[in-house]
Amino acid sequence: MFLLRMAFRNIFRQKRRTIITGSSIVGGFALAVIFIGWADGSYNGIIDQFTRTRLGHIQIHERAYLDRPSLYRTVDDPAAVGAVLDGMGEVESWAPRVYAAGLAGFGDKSAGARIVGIDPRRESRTTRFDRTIVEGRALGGPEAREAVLGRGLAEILGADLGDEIVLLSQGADGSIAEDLFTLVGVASSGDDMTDRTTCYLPLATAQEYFVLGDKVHEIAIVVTRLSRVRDLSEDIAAELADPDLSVAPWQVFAKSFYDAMQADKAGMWVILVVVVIIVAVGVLNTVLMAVLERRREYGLLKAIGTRAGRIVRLVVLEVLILSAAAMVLGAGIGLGVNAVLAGHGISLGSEFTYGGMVFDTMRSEINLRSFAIPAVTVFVAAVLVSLFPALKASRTEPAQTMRMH
Amino acid sequence: MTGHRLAAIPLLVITSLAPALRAQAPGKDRAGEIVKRVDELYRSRTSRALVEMEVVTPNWRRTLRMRIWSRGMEDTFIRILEPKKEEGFATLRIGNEMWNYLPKTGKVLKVPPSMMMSSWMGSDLTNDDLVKEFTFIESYRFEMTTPASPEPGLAYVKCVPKEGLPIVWGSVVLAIREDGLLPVWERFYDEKGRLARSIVFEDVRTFGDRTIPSTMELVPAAKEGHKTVLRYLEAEFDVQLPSDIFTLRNLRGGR
Repeated sequence: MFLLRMAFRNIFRQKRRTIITGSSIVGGFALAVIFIGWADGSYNGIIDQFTRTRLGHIQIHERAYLDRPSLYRTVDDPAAVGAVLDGMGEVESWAPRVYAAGLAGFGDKSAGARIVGIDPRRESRTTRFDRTIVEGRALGGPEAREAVLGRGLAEILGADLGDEIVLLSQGADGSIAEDLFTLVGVASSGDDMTDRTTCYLPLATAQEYFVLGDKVHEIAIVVTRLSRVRDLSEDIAAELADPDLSVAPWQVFAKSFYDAMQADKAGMWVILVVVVIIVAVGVLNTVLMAVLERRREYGLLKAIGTRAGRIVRLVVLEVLILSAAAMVLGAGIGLGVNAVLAGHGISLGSEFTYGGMVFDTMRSEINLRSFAIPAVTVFVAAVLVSLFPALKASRTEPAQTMRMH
Repeated sequence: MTGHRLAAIPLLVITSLAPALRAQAPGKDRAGEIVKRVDELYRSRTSRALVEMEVVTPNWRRTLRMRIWSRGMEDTFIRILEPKKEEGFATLRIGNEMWNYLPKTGKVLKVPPSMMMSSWMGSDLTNDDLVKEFTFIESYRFEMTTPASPEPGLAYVKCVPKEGLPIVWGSVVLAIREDGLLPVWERFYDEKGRLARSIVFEDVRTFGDRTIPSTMELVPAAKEGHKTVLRYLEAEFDVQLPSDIFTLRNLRGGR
């Protein structure tokens, strides 16, 4: 108790020194908090955009579909799966899909097409499909004989809105599937490769065309919180309890994207480490100065009979109190700045694209680790830094130290 | 290139081997002799055939009946007769180009180059199998070979594509019955030497003045439970064909 009182007295006695040391910690801490929040915000923004506008956060398939997609690897009862998903609070929405390859033709032009059957209403709610429509409109009812083509594919075929597109493929019973569909819309997903090959049909139309009954190949799920995706995937799998179905988070089904993100993040860690080192060195510098400046004082304490251990504890305690107070202040500043960045984002001036997605605003994110990492760093740096001069102070020969300083 | 195949698909692989071979070593080379014989077996200026194609997959099994016309190496016309759902579906091939006629919608669709490796009518044959030309396969070298456990009475010819050519196979082995020089089987290996697909020839029958195996069973090695069987029910060679068969107009004719 006595030690604590003494530590506080020391802190308040030299106000200018305290302010300089403290503000260095405040500044470093706030900087690190903002930086991490910003980096996480940018990455999660890209991930969220990528998964949300195209793939969904979680996907359900037949067990082997992801490894070897096939017309026959289906989710046989999507309605039952949907009922389970509707009962889960963290599932924002879900959309069933059918995939198959075919040949699309118009006039004397033809091109290979990836035919995707979607439930227009659900798809718009889940992946905002309606927003990708650049011409015409989204698909109408689930049974309409209508098609939406990717922009590139529409250009290859030379088809305009209202034209009758012919599709040739094969049904699940082996029979030849051929039919005409009215082109009602052109979609631009932002990814040229996708747009050059994709033809969207209403779900029920596609199921009939491919003789699939009620079966689908994929159920894409969007959840309320990106950070809960892995846990939620396991929850859904447990809830479904169907060994024939696999529930995969985006990290699994979009593995190449995930790996690219991880590689990018590794690069970000290097920058993070540099920032943390700068903060640590700043703290080290000021604390070291503050302690060394007081060597005479410690010599005196020793001269009047204070034991070495006590001096060490006193110095460390002072630094801890100071850095704790500074971190509270720094956290406040960091939180404030991040809240503003998270709310409004920073306009990039010109938009840039990443993986076919267009970004014009980057937003920050407020999360626990953006506070935890700097907090641990500053604490460790401060203690380590104070320990050295404290030990030195405790070991000094009182008479000599006092003479010299 | 006046050589011609028996209006159908796997056979062309064999017939196609011949010209290159003759150019290589006429008369002397035994491998050459054999392939030359096989080639002559199937050569004709024109042909007309009634063929049954049975496609078996783990998910379904179906049989199509079709009429096939051919002229030279370049032109083929196929019209599906059965089943009802596909009646009238037709494929026209002229040289390297291919079109499908869709009877339900009345449309003609050209098969783009990117779809050449796709399945034809759901079978284990690709569109590419239908359009392959002499010039493509001409570039093989031939030699006699002996497999690990040779069957008595069979001769084996190994065909290796010449270097620098866009050929998907690493090698092709052809087994021929020495008595009568009729093909027994043909095995296709990929570049790593793994079996990719095999064709077995059976049911030797006589059509007019020709005696040939009338059944071909194609089994892709990588697709378990898949096979395609072609059976020649009728075949005529060097017959007079109407001149408008190999035209887009006839394709659209839908009959």
